[in-house]
Amino acid sequence: MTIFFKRIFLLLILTSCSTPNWYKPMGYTIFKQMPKGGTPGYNLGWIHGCNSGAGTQFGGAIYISFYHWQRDPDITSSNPNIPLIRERYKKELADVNWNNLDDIKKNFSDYNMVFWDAHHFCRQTILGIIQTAGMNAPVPGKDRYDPAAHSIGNMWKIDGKGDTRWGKGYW
Amino acid sequence: MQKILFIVALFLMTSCRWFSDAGLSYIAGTNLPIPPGTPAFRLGYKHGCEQIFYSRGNVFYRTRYSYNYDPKLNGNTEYRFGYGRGKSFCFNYVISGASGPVGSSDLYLFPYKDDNGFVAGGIAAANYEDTTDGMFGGIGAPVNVTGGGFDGIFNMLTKGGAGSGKAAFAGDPLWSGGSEGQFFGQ
Repeated sequence: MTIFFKRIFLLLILTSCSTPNWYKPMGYTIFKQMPKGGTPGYNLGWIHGCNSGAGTQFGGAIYISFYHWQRDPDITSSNPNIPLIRERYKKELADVNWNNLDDIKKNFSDYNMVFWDAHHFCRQTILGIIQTAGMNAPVPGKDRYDPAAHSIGNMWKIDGKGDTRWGKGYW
Repeated sequence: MQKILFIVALFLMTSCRWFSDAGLSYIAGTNLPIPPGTPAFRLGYKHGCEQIFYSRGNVFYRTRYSYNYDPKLNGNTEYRFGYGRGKSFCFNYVISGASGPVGSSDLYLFPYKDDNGFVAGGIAAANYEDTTDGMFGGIGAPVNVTGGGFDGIFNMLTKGGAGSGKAAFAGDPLWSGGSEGQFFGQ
């Protein structure tokens, strides 16, 4: 029985690992939303955008500690240094056809186009989760974060901000 | 008789939408129609709307919706235009006080109820004067604002900020007499 549970646990861990940042706060929840079927540039832009969006002040000190701004200045450049980018993202952009300028441009364009959308999505999702849990994200200059005042389970409570039950405005 | 009652009830429940909105599709689970347009625009609109429902809704919304974006249409301007429109429209819906999930049945009457127990003067005088939370943060809260009620709403406008001695209006725009500009005054 113990081996059975160990295998299940291992399976869960391994399946989670395919999602970027799965070990960070809400990392699995938001990064698993990345759409399938995009170009390598699209996927990289999405991950960078989400990472940047989750690390804004909207998430407070906790999220800032785990996520950070990650927009690549070379890909966003109007005159990108292609060899440098290729070297920097050997793994992430491995499927780009580096001999085809159109394909490179398409990937860079995808990166730039999806970046801000992913940024917005992850920023809003973090803020939405915090608000649902009835928490105020601590920002610099305000009170120090008090973990005792909050519970992780708060994000699933239904009587906080976002209550959609009968008579609360949704119906 | 039962058939007639059934038909009448059916029309009442659907608000006769079968006629006026025939052919229009709605965002699932809402009464929000997807506006007419090209298929790419409408798909983008739907995806944008569902995305923001997931982001800013509560656990109910997050169970029901998810992030939806077609990477193959990333370069399609119609899709992206619809996506942006759907996202911004549904953002206002999902965070709105009256019809969105943060609302309550009486929020039309007491728009600041959930934050402050609604004292009309409290819009500026209580925690709203805080520089981070305040609706009028940073301009100095009026010390002469008094009480709540309907008239209190206008105190912010008529009595002005602390120390300024100035206000947006010289008098109560609804009731005060002896000056110009009011609706019901002399």
